[in-house]
Amino acid sequence: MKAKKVSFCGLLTALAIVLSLAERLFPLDAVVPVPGVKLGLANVVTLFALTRLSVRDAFFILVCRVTISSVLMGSVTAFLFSLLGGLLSLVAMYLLLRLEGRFCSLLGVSVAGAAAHNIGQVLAAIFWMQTAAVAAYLPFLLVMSVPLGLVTGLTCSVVLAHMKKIEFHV
Amino acid sequence: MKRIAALLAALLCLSGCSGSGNVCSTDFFAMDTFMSIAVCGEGAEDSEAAQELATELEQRVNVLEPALSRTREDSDLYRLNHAEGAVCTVAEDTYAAIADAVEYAKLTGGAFDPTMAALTDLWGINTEDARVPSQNEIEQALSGVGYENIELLGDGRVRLLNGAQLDLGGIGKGFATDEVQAAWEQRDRSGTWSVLARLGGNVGAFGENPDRDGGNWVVGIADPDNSADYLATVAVKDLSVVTSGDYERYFEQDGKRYHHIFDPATGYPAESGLRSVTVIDESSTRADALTTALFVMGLEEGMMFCAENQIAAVFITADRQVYTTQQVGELCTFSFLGEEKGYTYAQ
Amino acid sequence: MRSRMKWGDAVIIGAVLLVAAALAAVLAMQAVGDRLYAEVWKDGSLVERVALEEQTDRTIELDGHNTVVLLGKTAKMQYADCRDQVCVRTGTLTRAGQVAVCLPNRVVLKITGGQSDIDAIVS
Repeated sequence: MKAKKVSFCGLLTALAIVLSLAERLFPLDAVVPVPGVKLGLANVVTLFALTRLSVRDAFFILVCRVTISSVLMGSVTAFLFSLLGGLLSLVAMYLLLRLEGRFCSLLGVSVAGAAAHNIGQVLAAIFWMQTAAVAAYLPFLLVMSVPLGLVTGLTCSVVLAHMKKIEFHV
Repeated sequence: MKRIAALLAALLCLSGCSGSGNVCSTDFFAMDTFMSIAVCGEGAEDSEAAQELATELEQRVNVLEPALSRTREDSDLYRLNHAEGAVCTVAEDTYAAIADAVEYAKLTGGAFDPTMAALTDLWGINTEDARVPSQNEIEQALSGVGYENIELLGDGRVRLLNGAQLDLGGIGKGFATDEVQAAWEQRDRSGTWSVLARLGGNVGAFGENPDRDGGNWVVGIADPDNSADYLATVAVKDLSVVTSGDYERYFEQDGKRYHHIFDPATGYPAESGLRSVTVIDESSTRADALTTALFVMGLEEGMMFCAENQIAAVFITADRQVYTTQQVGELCTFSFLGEEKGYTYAQ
Repeated sequence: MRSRMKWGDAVIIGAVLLVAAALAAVLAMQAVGDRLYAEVWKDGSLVERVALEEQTDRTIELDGHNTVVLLGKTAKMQYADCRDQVCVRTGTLTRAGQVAVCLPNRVVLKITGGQSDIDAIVS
């Protein structure tokens, strides 16, 4: 791996961690009383990595981000939720990106990713807490994933357009 | 989209299966108690066949009522009790029930005894004239007690000696449960339906429970302080569960509680330090007789008796301990849930 | 810009919202299925069937012979003029399948509906 690419991946991981931390400012716990459930802002990094780098790179960035931010916040449940949510989101976005341009735009990809992230989190919660009652929060989280996915998709598209303008290549 | 459709279908099925369209039940009063027989199986609620079976099983119990009653003046037992020692010919069901009662009286060494009618009438528990009788009266009533006084002469002929008075109340509901099981087995050979019979606190669970994994039936053992609630559960299949306790039928006089389970040796309510005894058995009649006998024997003697005779029993004591015999674990799945109510499970 | 909306985006967003709505509907249906009812029977016929809610507070008189009290998600036979008092001693019913029976007056109070952990109680 070229040094430039490694440092770029590191930068993205750092950004993703910052976004994970920033997420804690949103008191999602007030609506969804399951400790560890998150909005999934860091998905923007996964989406960006998928478009500019490869699935492999995106996967490594995801695992590094989840591991490090969990250590920082020190919670096993958060690790489990973020990992499953992140992985499901990665898979969904990877599959949809192949159709991007013809079938849908980055916005659609991002919405699907956000929805997959929430489904993953709830699945992890069902597994961890051994109760299907947690599924009751899924409709709310799914509705939330639409505006959130639009915002992250838009952000990603703006950044990509800007990089094209300044002719930045990895 | 296909995946979404599949997910939706799965979710809808989930909600469909947990709904209860699988029970067809009949409630009725018989043998001085409230009974409920549920026929269970896929689509039982709207099935005419299930409805027919439920009605048939109810009728079987209703037919048994006069055969086991001693208070109806047209009943065989009434005739027998008033025959003053003469030989009487009784109906087939009655004869079979008396024979069972004698067998279990012998088995328990008389701790269960079907000849205590005079004593029960004397105390009058659950009637308006419930009272503590005098010692004289008790001795008088005890003089006729003893299963040895029953002579079974074959061909439906029975004779009572020494003024013994028969009362099959102690096994009546159990006998009825066994008859319900027999009628179900005979009638529903294809095995389409399962039956949950609740005959006045006795439970018989026959066949697969369609609403639970493993097909078992979960039966709660009543909390003696609040009998709508339970202290433990047993998961059973093709078994009967019967409890005898001091908490439902009793009266109080001078601050003392007098319940309905009498010790044939003293003529007084058994004071064995127990609140209830539950027996799980293939024969409901046997379980019915044994709960009474074990309650009279008390914890220590009762546990020993159970070990000797391979009986699955659950004892709840007055000092809030719950004991189970070894056979309980072999016959069913026992779960203790009484911790919050201040009970401990002594293994 | 790669954010120019295509028809597929509408499909994706629609699908997510549809799944959310369907899941919410299923959960709501289950909640209705889990609702508890108190039933009062006299002489084999249904006198009253009341859905038990948190705010339920009702007293049902049966010709002065029996009094049933429904409070929150519970039901109990508060009073019976009969001699044996077995129904009153049965206590408070909170779960589907529980029954309090007044034999002399032929009154049955029972809780139905919902999902119960048990199928029957021996007493």
